[in-house]
Amino acid sequence: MDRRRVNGPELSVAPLVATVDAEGAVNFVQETPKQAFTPDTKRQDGRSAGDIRPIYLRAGLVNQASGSAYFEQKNTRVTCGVYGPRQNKKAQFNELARLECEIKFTPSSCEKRRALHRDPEEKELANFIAQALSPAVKLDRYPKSTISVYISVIQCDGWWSAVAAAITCASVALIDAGIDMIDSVVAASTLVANPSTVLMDASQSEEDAHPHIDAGVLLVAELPTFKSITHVVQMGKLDINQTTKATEACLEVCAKIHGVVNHYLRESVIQQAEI
Amino acid sequence: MATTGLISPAEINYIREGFAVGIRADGRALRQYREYLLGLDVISHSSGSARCRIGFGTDVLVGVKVEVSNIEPGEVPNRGKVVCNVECSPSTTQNWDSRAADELNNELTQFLHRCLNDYDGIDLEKLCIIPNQSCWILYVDALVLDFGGNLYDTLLMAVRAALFNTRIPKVHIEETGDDGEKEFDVIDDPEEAEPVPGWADVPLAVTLNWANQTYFVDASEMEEHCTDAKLTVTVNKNGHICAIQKSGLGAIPQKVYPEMLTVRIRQEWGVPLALWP
Amino acid sequence: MSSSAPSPFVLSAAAFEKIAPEEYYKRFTSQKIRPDARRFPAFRQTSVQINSISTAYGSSVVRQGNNMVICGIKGEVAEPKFATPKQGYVVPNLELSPICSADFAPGAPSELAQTISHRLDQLVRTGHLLDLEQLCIVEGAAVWTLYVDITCLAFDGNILDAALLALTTALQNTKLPRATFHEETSLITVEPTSPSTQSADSATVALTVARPLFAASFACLPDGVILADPNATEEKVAETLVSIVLDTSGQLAHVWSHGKTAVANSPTIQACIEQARQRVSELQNIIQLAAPKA
Repeated sequence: MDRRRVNGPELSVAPLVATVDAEGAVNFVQETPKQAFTPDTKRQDGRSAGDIRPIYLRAGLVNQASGSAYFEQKNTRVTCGVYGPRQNKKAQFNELARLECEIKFTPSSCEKRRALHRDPEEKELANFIAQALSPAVKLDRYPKSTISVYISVIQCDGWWSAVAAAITCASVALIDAGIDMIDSVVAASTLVANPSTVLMDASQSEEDAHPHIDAGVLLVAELPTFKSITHVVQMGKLDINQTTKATEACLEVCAKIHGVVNHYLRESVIQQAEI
Repeated sequence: MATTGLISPAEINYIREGFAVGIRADGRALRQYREYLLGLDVISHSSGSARCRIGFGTDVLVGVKVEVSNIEPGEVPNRGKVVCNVECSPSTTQNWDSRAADELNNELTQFLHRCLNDYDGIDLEKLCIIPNQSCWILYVDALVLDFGGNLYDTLLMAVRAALFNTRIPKVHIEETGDDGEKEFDVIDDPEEAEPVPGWADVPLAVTLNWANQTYFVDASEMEEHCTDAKLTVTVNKNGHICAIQKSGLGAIPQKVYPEMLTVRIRQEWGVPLALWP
Repeated sequence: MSSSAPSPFVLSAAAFEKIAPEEYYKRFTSQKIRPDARRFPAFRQTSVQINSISTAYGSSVVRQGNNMVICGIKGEVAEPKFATPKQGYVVPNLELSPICSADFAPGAPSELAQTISHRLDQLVRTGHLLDLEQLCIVEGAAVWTLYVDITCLAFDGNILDAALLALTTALQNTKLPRATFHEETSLITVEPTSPSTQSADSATVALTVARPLFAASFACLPDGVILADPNATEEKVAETLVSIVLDTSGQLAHVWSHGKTAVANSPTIQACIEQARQRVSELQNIIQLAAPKA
């Protein structure tokens, strides 16, 4: 029990979802049946396999932060605040700045309520994001300092799409903070449903419908101008051709997202200049 | 791994220049593993265990404990469970303060969890005893005793060996009522125990280290300090890629990336293939 | 810049504010105005957005000036207390995430977050905000626990007002799924709800908030100046902070007053209550605008 928070009852459980038929028999709602995909099949929300959800992007929403950004793809919403460069609290000298990342899914962001403290999954994701962003940031320009990147996932519709959104959002927030970077980092995620349908930017219901036993997930973050991959995570069994195909699809989408990010940044600079 | 006081800029430069011309400090080729020692059944009270020591540096001890667990309502009704834990003792190397060790423990635990639980490898459905009631739970605990680079590969090697070594007792299932209710007894006879279903599908990892425009395998501790980025690829016996994970603070050029993926475990590298069917 | 004579020392406004905030404020208050151009009794512009988070049973987003808080409500099933077999639980928590201000570090909740969470809890427990018996599923066996999680995404002072407004409006718009108790298995199940059918159908029950509560906070400066809805800087220079909680009929639910010098004297409190009453009617208009069109 955490004395520093308001605590509820000792034990509470998420309600079980089930349908009850006329005879009173209980049927637990099972995983949604899998949809067989051909290249022409439309997905639940009307997209085709290679489409991503429309992006809404804004920078500079948190006036207390050095830089901030908000990134939305339908029901996936992520916000990020950047503080720094600030003085390193430890006395130890370091030639490079430390890029500190934290990601928190708000308790009501997912189907199941998430705990208030950071769980192991979030700690690992924070690590991923730091590794994805570091190659773009000129850390040698800020010796002895810490740059803090704090990310909050307000709503998550597809775990890996939220992670990809977090990386892109954090990169825009770093740019908004005026941190020296060599390029923006953009990320895309995909779900590879067997045999070889590549579903870009999968939503939660699609992730649920394809359990990992027979589907793979791939997340790629890249520096589009330098054609460099800054992070890649794959899970699930795929053969080399599927992996290569999925990677190419992700990179293609990364280029599109990069276009959106660039367009937004350019527009906002022009707007600021007009004011 | 971050640069530390352990290695000077001159040394880093020296080692990196070596990579460019294919020369490594210990005389190995770029794609050659160090010698390794693999021991099975090293913990007497576990259901299975193994210890892997690579290049007289990294040393990982893995114990597997098999227990009966309940399947709660709302959980997948016909699947067993695997719980992983990886711990690096802070005394392993002088570089890790307690926070860094915590982060590394978490990173490795999550990685192993993904390798064994959700994705491929162990046949979880065969670990179910009675659907909606009972299943086997495998506790896989790894302890890093010493660190000399290339932790991921060593860890998965030791885990695979420990799972190979694990025996699960047989059960006798009987129906107790007319309405399909079942009960089971665990048969104590060690002769009757069975291997872990699907252990042979558990992948091994190859970590490719990207440094100075080239890549090499099985980095030593010093070499890890000189590496820009690492790409861990886990491969099962059918040559399927089970997981990819990049780590480190650098980037990998898009051009080289597909080539790195095609690098498979090959006999001539001296990769520990003893358990490779 | 010319390199000849040293230029006379000029302090920029921003530096002045940092170095001597009290003196800086006095210059403004003596002119009956605040640095952000508000009059003393003016609250910052407030807006409410309802049920934008589809993964929650009820949610609201409140913006008050530069403040932004998000409140999401999730329900779980728990056993009731022995003494109150029909009452459910409401568990409010405020998270001042490190995103919202440089003053908050990641990790354990800050002192401010703990204080506000505790106050919200107090209001739910003793303020008759809602009847906890409507959260009963099976008497003595199962009740709903509503986790009210308020996350601050942008912080600029007076977070209590924003947090309570978010809590009240989110609760007012919460719809609980209909729960069934199965005797043989003693399991509780709920009907599946999809986001598209979430509004107004038989699978959900709307929560009733009997006594919506609203807060209005004030910062008392020296010389009897009362600033309504203080921002982060004003909170720091204030001598005393007063928070008034009222219901829609203007009845007092709670008064908090704390400060570095004396507790605000009674005429001050009286004045604050008067202003708070006006604020509550203003807030009701704002909520009406946000309410989903029937």
